[in-house]
Amino acid sequence: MRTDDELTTLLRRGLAQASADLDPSPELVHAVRRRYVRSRRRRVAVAVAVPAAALAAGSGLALAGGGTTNHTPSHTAGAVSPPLAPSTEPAAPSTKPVSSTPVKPASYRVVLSNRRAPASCPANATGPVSKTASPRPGVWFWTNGECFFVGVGGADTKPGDAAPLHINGFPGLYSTLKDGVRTIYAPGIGGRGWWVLDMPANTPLDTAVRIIVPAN
Amino acid sequence: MDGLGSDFDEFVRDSSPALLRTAYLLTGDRGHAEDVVQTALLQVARKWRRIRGEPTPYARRAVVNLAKNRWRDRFRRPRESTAIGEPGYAPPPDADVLLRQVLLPAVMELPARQRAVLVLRYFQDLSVEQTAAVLGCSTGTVKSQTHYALSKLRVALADPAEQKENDHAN
Repeated sequence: MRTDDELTTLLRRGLAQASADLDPSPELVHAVRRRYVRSRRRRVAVAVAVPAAALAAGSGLALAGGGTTNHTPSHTAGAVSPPLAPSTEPAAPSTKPVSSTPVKPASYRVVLSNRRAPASCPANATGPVSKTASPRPGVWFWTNGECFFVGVGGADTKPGDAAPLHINGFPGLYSTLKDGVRTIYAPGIGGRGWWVLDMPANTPLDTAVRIIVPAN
Repeated sequence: MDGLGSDFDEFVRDSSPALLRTAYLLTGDRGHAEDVVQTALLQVARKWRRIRGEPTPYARRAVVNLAKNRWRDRFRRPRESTAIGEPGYAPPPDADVLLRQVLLPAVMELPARQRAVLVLRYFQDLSVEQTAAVLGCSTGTVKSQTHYALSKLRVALADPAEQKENDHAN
């Protein structure tokens, strides 16, 4: 039997040899920076969009928060006030406007949603875009009142008869159409292997690709 | 400007080779290792202001956690055939047979935590305490996981004749 020292020496050598020829891409710094900038933009957009939607909603949006009697959101000014009836009564003493209370997006939730799945969607299509493992790995999405399933898989090679498919921002796509099934081949990360997306021929290709394939 | 200074670029350039190799040894898949490192560095970028004094432990921990979560997205990418121990893997020419055919496949067969302990201790040369900090567990757990992992490797490396003798003795 080997001693611990012999074993760990062998292990150190083995681990070092197995990974010796690996070097990160010279583009790594730029790739990380690009992703970082994109994720920051997304965060800013979400933080701005939620209060803006609340301001705009007026009648279609309810604010649900704790302690509604004391909760005075700053955006009630956007609500439609009832028309003033002509009156001979003396005007009520004017009240000072309620000072606005700072509200954070986390402090209320949007209770009205007009996103409902089309009737043709299966039960596991729970959102406008949802991943699923049933009946096989893929993605459900709905658009224009119709549901589409895109199967997602992988392959080492693409078939020779696959024709180039041009979608802006997604270079290197290929596609085949056989028996009413559209199959799209997208290059794997680092140029190894192919993503294989298969879908009914009437599926909006552009949408399917943009949902699943990372843009370049 | 994106708020990241040139020191971030320097950190990425200096640390990414070791992080990539660690990720590769943890996942056994080069493509996945590259994804893991990129995502880990993105997490570092998000916390850069807070951790710029000592970013390496955070990055290392991110790599280990992302590698552990590999099962979650195993269907998201095409399967690759260059993993350690698989037929397509081309070993370095001077690697000996024992390493190539027995030890490395045995390391890849270990449970994720035991593999992580071995990689952190014997590839990254971290102490027991540092390994425990990266894995978020106690030093006792690191020691016991190391012990179990080395025992399994010892069995895998044992001569069949020697193994038979031990079986008889037991």
